[in-house]
Amino acid sequence: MNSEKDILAGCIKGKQSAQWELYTRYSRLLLAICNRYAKSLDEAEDILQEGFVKIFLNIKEFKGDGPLLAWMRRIMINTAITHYHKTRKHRYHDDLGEVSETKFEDKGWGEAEFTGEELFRVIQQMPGGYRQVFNLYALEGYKHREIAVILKIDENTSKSQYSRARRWLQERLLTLKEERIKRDE
Amino acid sequence: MSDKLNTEQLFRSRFEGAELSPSATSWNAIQRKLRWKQFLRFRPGRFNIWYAGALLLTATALAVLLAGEREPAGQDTGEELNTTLHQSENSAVENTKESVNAAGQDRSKRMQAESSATASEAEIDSSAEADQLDSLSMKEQAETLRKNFNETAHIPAEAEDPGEARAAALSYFTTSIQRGCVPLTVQFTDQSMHATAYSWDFGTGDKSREQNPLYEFREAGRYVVTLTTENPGKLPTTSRMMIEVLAAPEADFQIEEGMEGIDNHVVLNLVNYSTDGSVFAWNLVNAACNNCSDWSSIEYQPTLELKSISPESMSVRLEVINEHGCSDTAVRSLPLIVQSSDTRIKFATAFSPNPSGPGDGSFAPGTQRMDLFYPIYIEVPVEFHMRVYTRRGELVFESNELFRGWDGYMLQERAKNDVYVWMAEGKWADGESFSLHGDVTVLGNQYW
Repeated sequence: MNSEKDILAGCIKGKQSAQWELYTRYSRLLLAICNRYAKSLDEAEDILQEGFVKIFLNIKEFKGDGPLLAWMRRIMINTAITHYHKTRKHRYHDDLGEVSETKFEDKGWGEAEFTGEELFRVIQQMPGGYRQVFNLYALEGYKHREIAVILKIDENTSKSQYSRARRWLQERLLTLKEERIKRDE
Repeated sequence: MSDKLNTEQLFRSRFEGAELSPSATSWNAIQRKLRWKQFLRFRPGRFNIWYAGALLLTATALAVLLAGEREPAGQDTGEELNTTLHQSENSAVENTKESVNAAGQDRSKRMQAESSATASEAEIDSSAEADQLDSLSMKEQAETLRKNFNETAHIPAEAEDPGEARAAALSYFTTSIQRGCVPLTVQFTDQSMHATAYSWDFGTGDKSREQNPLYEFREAGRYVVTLTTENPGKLPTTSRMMIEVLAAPEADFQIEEGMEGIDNHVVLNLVNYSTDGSVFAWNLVNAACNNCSDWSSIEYQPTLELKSISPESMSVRLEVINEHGCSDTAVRSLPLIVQSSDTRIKFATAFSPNPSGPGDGSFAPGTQRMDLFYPIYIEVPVEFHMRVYTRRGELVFESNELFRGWDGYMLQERAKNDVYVWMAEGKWADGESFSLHGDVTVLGNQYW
């Protein structure tokens, strides 16, 4: 049971050993993705579990027209978004977070300027509405048209949310940088 | 700008390929959820909730029918029963048919829904709704069931003979224990009403026709015990119970004599061969009193140091307990060698050869010599043989004579100051043989 083809065939037959192979191979990668959408690691694991259940139940629908990972990834993201919608009511006020309208230039960042940990924390602090749009657009490469469908929002809302998200992020990163300079002094 | 990243690139570069380990329980949770979902889904040829529902429905309808039906006096053949079942076209039968049909329709609807949802993403989104559908139709079924029951429940009340004869024939039994360590002896007690014959199936392949059998489960596992009773004028009824027989550990160990320590302590290594244990309790026990020694240990493989005990009636007891709380005990008596070596013969641990030259090594019984290596007899053996080796295994001395020891010379040369290994074997007057070994240090000239 080594090649992805064998694993796939085993999973279609519902073999637990094949499911385990698939799980051990991709769960870590997929959990990292879920974590970007979730409010906590617990929630991320819930999404991961739910996503894997969907993957195992629907694996025969996988057409093989692209990489299996991409398909699984899409399922995880869909699950994460569904999760987000389910819990959104309680968090909606998050989305109203104000962002200063001052124009500001993306001067660019050094690659080693922030650790993955720091960037992740920034993503996690991001208000829900911005966060999902930013995740989908910037990290997953979805189009605004697609995001509008997924998040059940207007396409223009997606665009404006995204530009705000971007500005919000840049501000956060600048603050982080300034804080570090102050600390070093 | 080439070495600078914009915000998107920054995040992408950090997050692409990032990994995070899920907790250990995640996999089990997935499998649990998966099984449940599969159970809820309709699939022909596999047991799932639809079959379970249908089964429950028919079983209840049947039970209600049988309970409500008047007992045909004296006639108890199965054919008779069947015909009455068909003849009594009461509302219960109608209702069952209807609800079964309804369930069938639901099922085909569900099948259509499944086949129409083809696109993978669409399917995934719809699966949540489908689940709701599942529980909805479950509720409907339960509703019909309840209605059924209520309606048919009236029928027996209208019947003429409300005496004992029409009381429900139910097989039912109780057990002395439902869960315990192997071997598990269970007393089954029949509590059925109106039963005339009993047939028990213990789930192990063994069967019984007694009313209240006593049965011993000899292997760990879960067994479904089935009692089928024959009831006059009614169909045989069945009742089941799960008996869980827990695996027990097996206690086993051996006593190995380790190196003889200083001060003539005997060190015994207790070598553990137990299987499937998580707690180990060691004790020194005596035939006379069970726990009179204060030595005990909960180590996996402890060592036991013996000084001046009377070992003839001492044993080591090991109790092993596994995670279910099942236990097993093993008792091994202490080896006899402890007795003979410690009390009948002793060897020096060091001596200092006479620097003036080798002697013949003989000594007078009862004397104490510092320049010879020889045993001190507390009891004189009838046979004796002793050899001394260097640490590399070269033989330096050998004697069959009781009163000739090693003078510390190899040929004509004085042995180097070092540790030498000795082995002694022989036989006591009572016929018991001994075989001992130890080491001795050749010292400098401090006695001369």
